[in-house]
Order: sequence, then C-alpha cells, then structure tokens
Amino acid sequence: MRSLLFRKAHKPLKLTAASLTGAAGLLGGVEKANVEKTREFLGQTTAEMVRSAQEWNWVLVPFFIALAALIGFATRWIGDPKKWNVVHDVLDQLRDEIFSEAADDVAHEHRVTLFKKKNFLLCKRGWWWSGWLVPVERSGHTSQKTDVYFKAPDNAALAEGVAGQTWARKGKPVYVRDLPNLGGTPTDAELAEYAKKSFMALDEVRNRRPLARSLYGFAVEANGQRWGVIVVDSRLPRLKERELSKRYRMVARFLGKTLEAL
Amino acid sequence: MKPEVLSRWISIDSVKYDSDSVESSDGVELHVFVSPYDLPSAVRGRVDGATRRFVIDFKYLSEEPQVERRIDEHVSFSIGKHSHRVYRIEADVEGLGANVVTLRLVPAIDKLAKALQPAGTPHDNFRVAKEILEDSQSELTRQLVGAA
Repeated sequence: MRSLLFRKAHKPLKLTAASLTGAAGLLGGVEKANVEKTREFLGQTTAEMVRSAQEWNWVLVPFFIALAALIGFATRWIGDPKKWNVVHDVLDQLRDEIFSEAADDVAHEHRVTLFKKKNFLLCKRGWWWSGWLVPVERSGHTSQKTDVYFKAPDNAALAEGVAGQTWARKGKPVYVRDLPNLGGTPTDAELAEYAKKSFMALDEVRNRRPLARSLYGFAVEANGQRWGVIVVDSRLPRLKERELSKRYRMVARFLGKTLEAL
Repeated sequence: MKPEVLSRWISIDSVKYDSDSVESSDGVELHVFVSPYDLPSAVRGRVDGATRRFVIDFKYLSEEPQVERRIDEHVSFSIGKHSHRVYRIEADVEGLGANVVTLRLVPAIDKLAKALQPAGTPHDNFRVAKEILEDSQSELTRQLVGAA
C-alpha cells in the first residue's frame, strides 16, 4: 500500500514542483534582461547572477521543467492524502457496520481491504502484464503494511485469491466460507485445503499463514467502470452475506466519486 | 397528450432481486451474487409529450456515459457504455398500446440481451430489469395512463 511516508511527502513534493516551475519561469524572464542596467539599479552581485542565469538558461529551464513534471507525476501516483483519508474512513465505516456485533474484537480480526486493478506490475511472481490487484487502503490502524497482491486476469482459472476471482467474474460478489483455522500448527492437509478454497498458491499460504476463515469480495466501480475490488476478511467462519451487500450500497456511490478523483 | 410530467421514482428493494448461485471452480464451491452495481435502486415511468414515447428510467449506484441501441421500430434502449446496464427504455406508446406497453418491454429486453451477449453469458442486469418491469407493471402503467 502507498505508505504513510509517501503520503506525508505529497505536500512537500507539490511545493517543490511549484517552486521549480516558478524558477523556470523566472529564469526564462531574465533571458531578456539587460545586465548593465541591472548592475546600475540593483548592484554588481545581482548583475552577476543575471549574467550567469542567461549563460545557463538553456540547461536550467528545461531541467527544471522536466523535474517539475516528474515530481508532478509522482504526486499524482501517490494521490491526494486527504482523499485517501476519506477512503480510509469509508472502509472503517463499512467495517464497523458489517461487524457491529463484533465491536469488541480486535480490528485485525475483521478487515476491509481495497485493491486497485493494475495492468502492469513489476514483481517476482508471474508475468508483469497479466493484470494484478494491489492493496491500496485498509480499514483500521493495524496490519497496514502488506505486500500481498493477486493475479487478476480475465480468465477465472488463472485468477488468484477471492479478489482475483471477483475480478474475473466481472465484479460479481464472491463468497468463500468455512476455511480451515490455520492458527497453531496446521497440518499439510489443512494448508492444502485452505490454499485450494481461497485460490491461493500453497507456498503463499504456508509462508503467510492467513487466519481469515471467511472471505467476501465485490467489485468497486468509478465512472461506470470497474476500478478494483474490496475484500472483507474475517476470523468468523461465516459472514452475513446479504448484509454485506446492503451495507456496501450505502457507501458505494460516495466511494466511487472519491476514487474517480484519485 | 399532456406535456411531460416527471413522475416519482419507485424505490427498489435490492435484496429481493439479489439472487445467489453456487458455482464450482476447480472443485471449489463458490457462492456468487449479483453485483450491487447491477441492481437498480429505483425505477420510474414518464411520458415525453413531444415525442409521444413512454420512457422508463432506472437509477443505479454509479453513472456512466450511455449509448443508444434500437431494437425495433417501437423500442430503443440507452445502455451503459462500459457495463451495458439498462438505464432507459423508450417505447412508442401509440405503436404498442398504452395499457400493454410495459408487458411488451420484457421480450424487448430479451432481444437486447441476444444482440449484446454471446450465447451462455446472460447479464444479471437484464434479468433484474425484466423482473422489476413485471413487478412494477401496475404502478408504471398508472404513471403512463395518468400522463396520457
């Protein structure tokens, strides 16, 4: 997920880009300045600065513009932190509504995670362009650091995880329940059953030991197009699936509008 | 005919139309539901006095650009450009008959489905739209007759 560090860097980066653009404009402006008149009115030091600027403009102006553009790209990639905070609040609200009866349970036992569909991903597993679902936001304040991502091609036979299966089924909600409890020392048979039922690779299950026992995924749309997937995972063996859809409908429109801007 | 009068939206109980099915993928049992985006939240009928056409609008969770698909000389659809959801149906009231227009629209949706989908991949939204038309027939007909 875009780490907190990235989001804190958003504002300084925007200011830097604005400063570089301003500097490029200023340097472009001094191109036509008269050095002698500058020396007469503003002194020797300023005149020397103007002369140096005029000498190096041809390098500095394009460099500043290119750097500002690169930083602009980075800030767009990070996304406005205020909007991401709104998305986080929506996921928190959804989590609280879905698991209102489990309010006393710790946050990471019942989670709502937003995955974004990316067509290309630089990763160790699989082909870069096979389509991936990458986590971008999660409810709560714990288990925020995660590097889990799922293959999401159009072919359901190759899709990973409930997230990938939801994507491959054109966004139809997918529900998997009664997964084995992998707490303690699970047997090989339990690990294999978990991997099969959750559409994950056995190695991933063995290494990560996920503790969710029920999973529910549904697509998220923005501007009428599928944007990504939300996965609800819980240590409860079953969820109230009808409730989930009903609760999501209450926030879907607002969430879609917010994601359009990200 | 009276000038166009906007009738009220009829709220849809999405739970009623949200059916689930059990699919098997590589021996694993999956419960699959209708996407909440494919379930309309409301429907209404109105008469366009200028064109003399009965218009049925569906409201959804999300909006998108729409494209028109004409099925025959009497009926045309506005469907989502990306999702192919039915957003609007326009029907020629005089050509179809005011008191049976909603009934004639159900087979029109089947024609649309055939035109858009490859065989064997029915669109949930089309099924739901048909069911809503059947269930809301009396209210929609009342809106039509009231404006006619």
